Amino acid sequence: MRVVYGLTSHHNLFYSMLVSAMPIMSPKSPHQRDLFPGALEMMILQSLRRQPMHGYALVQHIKQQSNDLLQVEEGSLYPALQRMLKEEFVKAEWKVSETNRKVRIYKITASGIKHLEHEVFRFERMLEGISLVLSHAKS
Amino acid sequence: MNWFKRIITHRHMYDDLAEEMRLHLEEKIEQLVESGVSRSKAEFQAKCEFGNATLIAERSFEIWRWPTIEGLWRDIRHATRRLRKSAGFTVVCVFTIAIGIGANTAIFTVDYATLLAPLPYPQPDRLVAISSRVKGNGGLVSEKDFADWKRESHAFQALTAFKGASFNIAGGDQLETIFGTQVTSNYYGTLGSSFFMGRDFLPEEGQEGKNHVVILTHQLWQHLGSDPNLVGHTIPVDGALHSSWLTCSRD
Repeated sequence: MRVVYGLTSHHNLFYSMLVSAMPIMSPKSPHQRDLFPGALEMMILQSLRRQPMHGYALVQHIKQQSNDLLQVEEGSLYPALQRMLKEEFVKAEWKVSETNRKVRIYKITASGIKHLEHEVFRFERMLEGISLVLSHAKS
Repeated sequence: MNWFKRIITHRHMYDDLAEEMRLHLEEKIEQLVESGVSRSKAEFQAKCEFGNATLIAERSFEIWRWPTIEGLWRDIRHATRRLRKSAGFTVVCVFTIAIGIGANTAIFTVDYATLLAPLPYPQPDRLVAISSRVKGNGGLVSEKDFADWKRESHAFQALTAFKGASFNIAGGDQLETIFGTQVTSNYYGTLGSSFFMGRDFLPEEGQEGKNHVVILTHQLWQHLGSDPNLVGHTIPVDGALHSSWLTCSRD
C-alpha cells in the first residue's frame, strides 16, 4: 500500500504514529512514508460508506478530509480497490456522473461495512495502546 | 464469486480496469487545465503523478490471478522454448526417457503377469502351491507323499496334484502333439473352475483302469474345430480311446 503524505509541522497523534510505525518504503522524496497495512482500505471503505464514488473522487475525498495530509497514489488505490472487489467488500458499476463523465462507481457492501467496523475497532484499540505508551514515556 | 465466473470474466475485468484508469488520468488532466495549467503541462504533470499506468494495471490485476498455476504455465512455456532451441539435447532426453519408460513397462508387465496378477480362479488368495524338497532337489512330490498329505493334513480344504505331460491326439487327419497336464480327479473342483460344456471328472475316474478320460480346454476344443459332438464322445489319445469332456473357457 502506498498512501504517502508530506511532512508538515502538525504533530498530532495520528501523524506521529504513521511516522514512527511505518517503514520507509517509497520514495518520491525522503519525507514520504507508507501507511500501515489496512489503513488505506479502512479509509476507502469509510469514504464509500458516506457516499458511493469513483476512483478519482476517492483520492480527492481522502485528501480533503485529511486536510491535505494524506495523498493517495493511484498506484496504491487501484490494487486496493481490486483487493476489496475480490473480497466483495465493495462492488463497482459503470455510470455517468453529474458532470457527464463516464465513471466507475464503487459502493460498499454489507460485508464491507462489517469488515470496516471490525478494522476500525482494531485500529482504535491499537491507537489507544500506542497513546498510553507515549503518554507514559512523556511523564 | 465462483471460480468459473472468475475465469471467464478475467478479460472483461482487465478491460474495465484499464478504461477506469484512463478516465481517471483524463479527469486529473481536466482538473489541472481548469486550475489554469496549460494542456500540455497538465498532461505531463498528470502522467508523472499517476505513474506507470501499465504497471499499476498489472499490479492491480495480479490480485485476481492464480500465481501457482500461472507460474507453472510460464515454466512449461520457458522449458518448451529452451528445448526447441537445443534440438540435439532434446532428442537425447526424449530418447533416454523413452527407453527408460519402455524398459520399465516391459519389466513390470512381466512381473505383473508372473508374480503379481491374481490367478484366474474364483478365490485365488486361497490357493497355494506346495512342493517337497529331497536332498536339495525340489519341485516334485511323490505319489505316496501326496497320499500322506491328503490323509493327514487338516490345513487345506482340498489337495490336488498335477504334472505337465505331452499327448498325441488325432486332430482331423493328422496326429498332433499337445502339451497338457495330468491331474487328479478333483483338480477342477479344487481350483473352482466353471465348465463351459460337459462335466468335471468323476471321483472314480481317478482310479487305475477308469482314468481314460480327458478334459479339453476351450482353446484346444476351438483348435479341433469347435465340434460340439466331441463332448461326451471318444477321441484317440496316445493310441487309446478316451472319453472327452469339455472344460471352462479360461484354461
